[in-house]
Amino acid sequence: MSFWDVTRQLADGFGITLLIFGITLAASLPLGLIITFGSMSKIPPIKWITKVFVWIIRGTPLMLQIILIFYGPGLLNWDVKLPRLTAVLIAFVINYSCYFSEIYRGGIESISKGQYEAGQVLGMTKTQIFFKIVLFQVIKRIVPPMGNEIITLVKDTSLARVIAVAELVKAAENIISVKGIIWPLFYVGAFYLLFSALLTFLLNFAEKKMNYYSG
Amino acid sequence: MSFLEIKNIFKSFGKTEVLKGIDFSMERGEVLAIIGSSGSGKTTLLRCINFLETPDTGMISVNGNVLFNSDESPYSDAEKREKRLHFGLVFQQFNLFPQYNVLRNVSLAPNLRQIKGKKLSKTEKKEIKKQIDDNSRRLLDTVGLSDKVNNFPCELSGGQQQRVAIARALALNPDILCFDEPTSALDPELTGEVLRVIRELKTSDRTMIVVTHEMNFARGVADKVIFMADGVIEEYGTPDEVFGAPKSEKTKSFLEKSLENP
Amino acid sequence: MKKRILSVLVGAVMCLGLCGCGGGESGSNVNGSVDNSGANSASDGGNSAGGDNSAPDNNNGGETDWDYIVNKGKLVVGITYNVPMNYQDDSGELIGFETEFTKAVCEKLGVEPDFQVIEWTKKEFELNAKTIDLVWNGLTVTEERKENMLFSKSYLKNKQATVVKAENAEKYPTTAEMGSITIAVEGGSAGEDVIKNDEALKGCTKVSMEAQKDALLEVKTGQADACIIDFTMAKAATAEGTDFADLKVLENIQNTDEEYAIGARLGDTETIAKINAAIDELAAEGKLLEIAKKYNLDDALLIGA
Repeated sequence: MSFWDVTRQLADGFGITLLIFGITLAASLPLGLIITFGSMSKIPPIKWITKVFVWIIRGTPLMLQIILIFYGPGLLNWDVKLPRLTAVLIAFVINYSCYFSEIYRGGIESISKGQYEAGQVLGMTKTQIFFKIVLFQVIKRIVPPMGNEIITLVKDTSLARVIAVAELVKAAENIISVKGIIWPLFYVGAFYLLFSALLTFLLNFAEKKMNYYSG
Repeated sequence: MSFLEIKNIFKSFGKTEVLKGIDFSMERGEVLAIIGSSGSGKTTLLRCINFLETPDTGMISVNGNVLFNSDESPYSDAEKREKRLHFGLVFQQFNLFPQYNVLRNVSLAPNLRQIKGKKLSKTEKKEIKKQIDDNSRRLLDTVGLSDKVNNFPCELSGGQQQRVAIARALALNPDILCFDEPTSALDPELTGEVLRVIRELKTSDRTMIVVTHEMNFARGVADKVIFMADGVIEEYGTPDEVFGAPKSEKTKSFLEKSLENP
Repeated sequence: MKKRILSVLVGAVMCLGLCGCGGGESGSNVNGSVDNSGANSASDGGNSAGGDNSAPDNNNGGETDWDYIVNKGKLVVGITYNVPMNYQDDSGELIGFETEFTKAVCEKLGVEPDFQVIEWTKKEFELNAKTIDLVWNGLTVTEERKENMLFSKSYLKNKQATVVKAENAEKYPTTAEMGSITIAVEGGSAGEDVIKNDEALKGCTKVSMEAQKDALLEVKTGQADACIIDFTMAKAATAEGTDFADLKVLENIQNTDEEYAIGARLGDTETIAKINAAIDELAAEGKLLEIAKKYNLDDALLIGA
């Protein structure tokens, strides 16, 4: 099997990897913020239900969550059948939303009370204070920890193979099974490295862009 | 009826009674200095006036309008927003918005109030924005920062930041401007520029309440002085009365200590 | 054991279900749009089980598994890629003995085969969760598996092969010499049963891998001294030109003869009966032998040879 044949086959897997990455990121970033509002809610039931939910999701392996979401409904005889990739995406979005929500929460709580009060005495509404004053400061503070999570997400996509979604690593494993050649398994590392290099570059760029002020 | 009337303000945090019945009034154009040791309740009083805390009981009115009355049902957020605009507040820690430049720090609130949520044509919006910008530049000029409009707060000294904060508080043109220990967070050599700006504002006929530890400033600038201790007004009068001939023992001992460690 | 796992799982699902409303919402958005792209690449040759969300209710309506399959119009067959059973040729098309056999049976039954790649260790999960309808991939009949699935008639002989590095081939004339070495197997495979059932292997260290290819990798890298995998897979994988060509299948160690059959959900007697009848027809027509010959398996054929 030639280098190009292998590359072509792996590229298919890489497509799935990118799809999982992209959709998870796009959905988790806003959903995480909603979960943050839940966990910071002044209404105790909402606050505690959200906190317990986040605890369960962060306290169990993503791999288990994928298996549960995909096989669970069928094993309970529910009339719901999720396509494999959909199950993976649901698990990833829920999982990463919870992780992102905790980063958001840390960022929001790190903003001093004085910033809110300054907005209040200037007659701003709560929404204006959040979006005009707090949010940008939060974003600046969370870019580094978010960067870490995002790079982790790139590699976590390989967990999708537990329910046989043919992402990058699974694609390489299939080549071993069928062709008996091993090197593609290590070649996939190059795909991950290139992609995370690109992300690192973008994240550094964002960080630099926001460094026009300190504090 | 006086310009500002404060009646019977009580405020507790849990079991701690911080304000135990505060009554005083002010006339338009007056400068009132509130002095007292830490924990005497002077900052809490200022925060009550600015609606950052809600008094347990009491009444606040400005120019005949009752802004707060504990007998009325709790005010909605929108009501509070309108009421608190009679006051401006300059914080001890400045609390400038670090992501905006100096001009934007001053013009942000007027922009939000005058443009957001209103049906305006593009040219109208542009016109209002220009007015706000011009006014903000003028205010920054009065505090002596016309050359810093495009700088970010982190590029300024503490004294300059506090002067921006004063301009920001003036931008919404409040009836009464309040200062919460405006020089306490500053290095000694920077307090002068801030106090000078406050002094200059007085000549422009501003009504101001200044919570301060600067006894010389209180004595030299204020028309009236309140000395607070243990949540009550221990002494009230002109600077000459309070500093020159204090009636209360507590005031005397406080002033002695303050003069030893200014 | 299995029941306990299931009850834990049920508990966990309920837990997630209770708290999961928020997340579920976004999930269902994702659902429709990406469905097909993912499903296709998961199994390249065929289509995915999930393509059809509107499967009729089959819990209480008195509907049998066979009705369920017919209503779907698709028979979802769980496979893994392995030579010569189910694998992709150079153009990416799914071929192999089982592939062609499945297609031939489905033609007789009048249903569409839908090949779904699965993780072999989770095949019982897949059946019970109805994400597949059959396991049809060189599935060895064992007593243990009979507790969890219903088997068709056996159609192919198999044995488990012991694979070692070629230079070590002389060391192991019988299993007696393998008593204290490390042996890799695929978890839940017939190879694992060999270790359990052979007294001589009681003292060895067993390593359970996710797939047969991983067991081969263990031997090649020296992590394990030997592996026990399906004979047909072993022969194909260690052939000239592969990375495993330096491994050797020990011809002198013959593990118990086994048989391959098709696995269905327990209780799905109707489907199995129909499949058995179709197999008999194919055997009588000589079609089964024809396919077996194509993949060099005619010697191992149990019926129609």
